[in-house]
Amino acid sequence: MKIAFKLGWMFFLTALLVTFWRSELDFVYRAF
Amino acid sequence: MTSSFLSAEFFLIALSAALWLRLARGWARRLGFTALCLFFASGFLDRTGLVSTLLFCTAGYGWALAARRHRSLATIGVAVMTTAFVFMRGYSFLELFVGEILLTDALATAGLSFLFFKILHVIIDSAAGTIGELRFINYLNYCLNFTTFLLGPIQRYQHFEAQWEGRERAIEPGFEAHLDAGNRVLRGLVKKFILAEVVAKWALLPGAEIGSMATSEILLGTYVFYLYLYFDFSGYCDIVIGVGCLMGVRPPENFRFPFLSPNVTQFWLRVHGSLTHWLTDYVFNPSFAAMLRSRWLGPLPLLAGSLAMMITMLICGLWHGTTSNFVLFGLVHGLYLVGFRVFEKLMTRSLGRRGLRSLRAHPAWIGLATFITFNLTALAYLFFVLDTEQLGHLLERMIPG
Repeated sequence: MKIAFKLGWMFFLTALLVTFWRSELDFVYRAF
Repeated sequence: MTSSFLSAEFFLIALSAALWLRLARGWARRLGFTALCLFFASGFLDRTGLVSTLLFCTAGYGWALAARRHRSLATIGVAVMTTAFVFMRGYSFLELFVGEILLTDALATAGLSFLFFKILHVIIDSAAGTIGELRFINYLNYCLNFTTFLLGPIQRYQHFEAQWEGRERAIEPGFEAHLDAGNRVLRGLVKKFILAEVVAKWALLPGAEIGSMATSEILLGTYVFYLYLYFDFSGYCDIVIGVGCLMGVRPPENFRFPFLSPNVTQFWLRVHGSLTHWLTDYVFNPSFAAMLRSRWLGPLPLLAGSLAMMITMLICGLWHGTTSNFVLFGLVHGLYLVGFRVFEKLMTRSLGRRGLRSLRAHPAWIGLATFITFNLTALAYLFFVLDTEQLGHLLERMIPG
């Protein structure tokens, strides 16, 4: 349960970063 | 020189370091890490900067070895390294002592202030005999460690070496601890690259044109700058501590909700803890002890403590920046700390130790003390952001006639 919450939190933070910093994270998109 | 903590280079270096330090052994591990750190540093330093940084580290190592053999050489080593640091950073007051032709900012390399304090600590602790074997490669990796190179936290060599050699664990083994470290990196990225960027729009930042701004706007901007600095710097610390945990060499903690500090002493322990501990160990304690041993100040411990505090904060201010406003920043915080010390003495005298303790525990007192500390520390950032000329204009505007 605790780990599931932490994984969810990780997903949320990543989504937040990707949403706000789409242009700065271009290198990730380019990599794929 | 375009590296950032939100770049492919940084994540590649962090990932490579985490894998390399876990998989490689012996010299390959040591030299591989040095190469990664140099690659990281080359993103912020040009060739001159890299060479001068390496020379600065090597000179520090030489003085540390010398201090180990003859304790008295530590003082000379500290003086020489301090002179080199002052020259390399190009402090504005140097114009008073040397010709303009000798002044250069070409050597004012990124991360120099943090490197300087790390090296002084190694020299002093080597003389005191609290550092075991000082291997050059370990020392170089300690100096160049990419997680603490640019902006700290100021790690102690003993702490670094114990984790580097595997005598101490950075984090517990297992998936959950690694997940926590990963989340810490993400939290730091959110703080530094989203929250700090959002509040920066309203913050009074260095170089701001205050001529067209209302006084209330400047003061409000200073409060927002405090918030911006917190998100930016504590976000950076979260990133490097998280990466350090994954790598196996965890840097020390630096931030602990500074807005909730009930006094200025607590503020300094919560806002840049590793710097405060450094200044306490290597500036405040020795100068206070020396003053207590002196004939004049020995019988006056409150005065001796206040003087030592002022010296410490003056150095703290000068360390933060090379211009005169940073001297004022240090002096203002020195006065805050001395004021708090005197206030505590007076309160103890009138209420007694037990009375003061129960007053401190009262929620209303905690609330009031936190409110006052928050305002005092936020306003002191005016001296951090504005140069002395701008501060003069602001003062003229605030005191009409």
